[in-house]
Amino acid sequence: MEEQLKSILSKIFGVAKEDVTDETSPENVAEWDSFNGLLLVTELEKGFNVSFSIEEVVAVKNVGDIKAALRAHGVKI
Amino acid sequence: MKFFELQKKISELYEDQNASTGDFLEVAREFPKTADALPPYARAFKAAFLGGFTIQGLPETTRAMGIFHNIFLEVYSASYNQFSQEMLDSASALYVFRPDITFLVTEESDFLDTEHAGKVVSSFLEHFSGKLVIVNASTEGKLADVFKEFAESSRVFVFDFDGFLRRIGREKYWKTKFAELGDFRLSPDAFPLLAEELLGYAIAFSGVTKKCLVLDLDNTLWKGVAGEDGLSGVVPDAPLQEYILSLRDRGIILAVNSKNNPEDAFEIFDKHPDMRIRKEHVTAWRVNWNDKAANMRELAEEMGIGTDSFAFLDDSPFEQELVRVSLPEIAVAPISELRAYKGFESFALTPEDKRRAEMYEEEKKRKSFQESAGTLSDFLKELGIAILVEDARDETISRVSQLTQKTNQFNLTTRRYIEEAIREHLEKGSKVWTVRAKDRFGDYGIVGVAIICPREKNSWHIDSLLLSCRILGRGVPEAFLSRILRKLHDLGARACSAEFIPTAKNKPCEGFLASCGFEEKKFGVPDTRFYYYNLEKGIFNPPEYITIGQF
Repeated sequence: MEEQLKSILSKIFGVAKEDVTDETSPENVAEWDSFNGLLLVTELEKGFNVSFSIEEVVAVKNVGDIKAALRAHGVKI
Repeated sequence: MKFFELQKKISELYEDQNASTGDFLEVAREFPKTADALPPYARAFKAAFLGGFTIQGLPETTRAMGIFHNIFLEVYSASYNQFSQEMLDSASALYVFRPDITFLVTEESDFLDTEHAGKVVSSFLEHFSGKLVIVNASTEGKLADVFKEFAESSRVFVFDFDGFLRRIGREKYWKTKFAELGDFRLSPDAFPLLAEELLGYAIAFSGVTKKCLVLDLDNTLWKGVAGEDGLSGVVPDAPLQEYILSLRDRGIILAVNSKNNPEDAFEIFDKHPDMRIRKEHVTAWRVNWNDKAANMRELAEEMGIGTDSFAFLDDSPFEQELVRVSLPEIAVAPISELRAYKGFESFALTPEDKRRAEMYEEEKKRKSFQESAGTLSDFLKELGIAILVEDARDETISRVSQLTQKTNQFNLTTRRYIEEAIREHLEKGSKVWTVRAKDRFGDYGIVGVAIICPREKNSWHIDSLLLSCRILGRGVPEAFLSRILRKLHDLGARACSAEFIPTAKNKPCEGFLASCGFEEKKFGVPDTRFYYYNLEKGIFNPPEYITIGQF
């Protein structure tokens, strides 16, 4: 699961998988703008077969938050 | 990354039903900005995207997917909701970019009123000569009527966005949470679906339309394997076959490329009650155990068309991969999404397109006649070829443009012209002449084009001269050129110049001008050879077995 999340992040933001940590965020990834952020949401929903609420999307500040949101939807990560 | 590597990746994504917008955008990041070093079968094309709501990512997705159709797109994206300013201002970045095609993606609420909408579109038409595709979510009501009226112009198209949303599932993709999060009224995961629709226009307009669908048999046209399951065991896919026949009705030629014993395969075509496609629907066959790429080359040779105009339908990942690697110009059509695949799109079906399958039948008759006729000159006499040279007209301009886009072998300069460019030539006083041909077996339609520009001192220059390869070897090019010179002479011309620009494909017409009595002039321009004809010395005679001007 961790690996799948990393490949999605790498695909959307063009970052190397091994550079992804819980602290990875729009602050330290140039490609993480609002558009790519939303694109990430569509990819996560498709890849993990979940659906996030608007509140959940807005609350995400970094990769750690993404994991927490996935966990809240029953994804073991 | 190299063009063919990108093309292979995109082609694989077309086959992958789980491919997402992100997958296409990932490949799009690898694209070079400009169209340097394109393979000869690829076309460069410029598209602008204007949105009334957020469409960020749509231009890039379209760009990535275009490469599957042999189109290298250069894109311009207007800033969020700037379409009105961009279209109204004649000096805007949109017009500086000079797109071949402009996509305006809006819905009714993006316009102040119908008057505003009318002003925006008419301003575009006034300032600019390119084509406009209106992708408007409101397909009913006053605004839709305004757009429909504009669509009567040959430069404005209205895409049925409403029908599109109905097809893909409005609830899933239209005004979901992404509309609230970033004004993505169309959810980004629908971008590949919309991009393919939009590419249909670019395909039709740039002339990369596929002409022939090459079919595998086992587990493609029918479930099961002919050689193992036999006549009683295989199950023809009737809906797929009916769709394929509808393509044939639109002028797409069908060919078969299958690993099978011919007798096993033909038995199914002849006897299976559920087969829709029958032997007479298929123009050329390769049913053998040879490598499918080699078969493709032979099929192209036999039918006299390029492999770049093939789409290929095959369930086998091995064969798909083989064709992607060895013949990247062939589109490996997505087998489960064939209906959504836009590679066969053409704007105006020319009469020649609609008759294409019939014309191949006539050509077969000519060939068997030739075999019984004895010498070539007997054959040509008996054929009774007649040609007619006419000015290009509104009804024939799309065929003229199509021929400039598609003709590679007998093409002196290989200049590609969109319809607007042909009209510009006419406005500047150039002559655009078409040649039609027929013989005892049928009408070939318009088979050649000449574009001739006036120069000073009663002299004219042949900017383009090209003939479809299916008419070559029968004296038509000579008769056409002789008639061109006669017409120029009648206009008072004293001299005619021409040029030959060699390409990888146009060797067949290299010696043509010299053989018709043109003199080569050395100007030392690399890659171009100039020629000159003195019309005051008289004009060479066309082949006597061709009737000129009577049809």
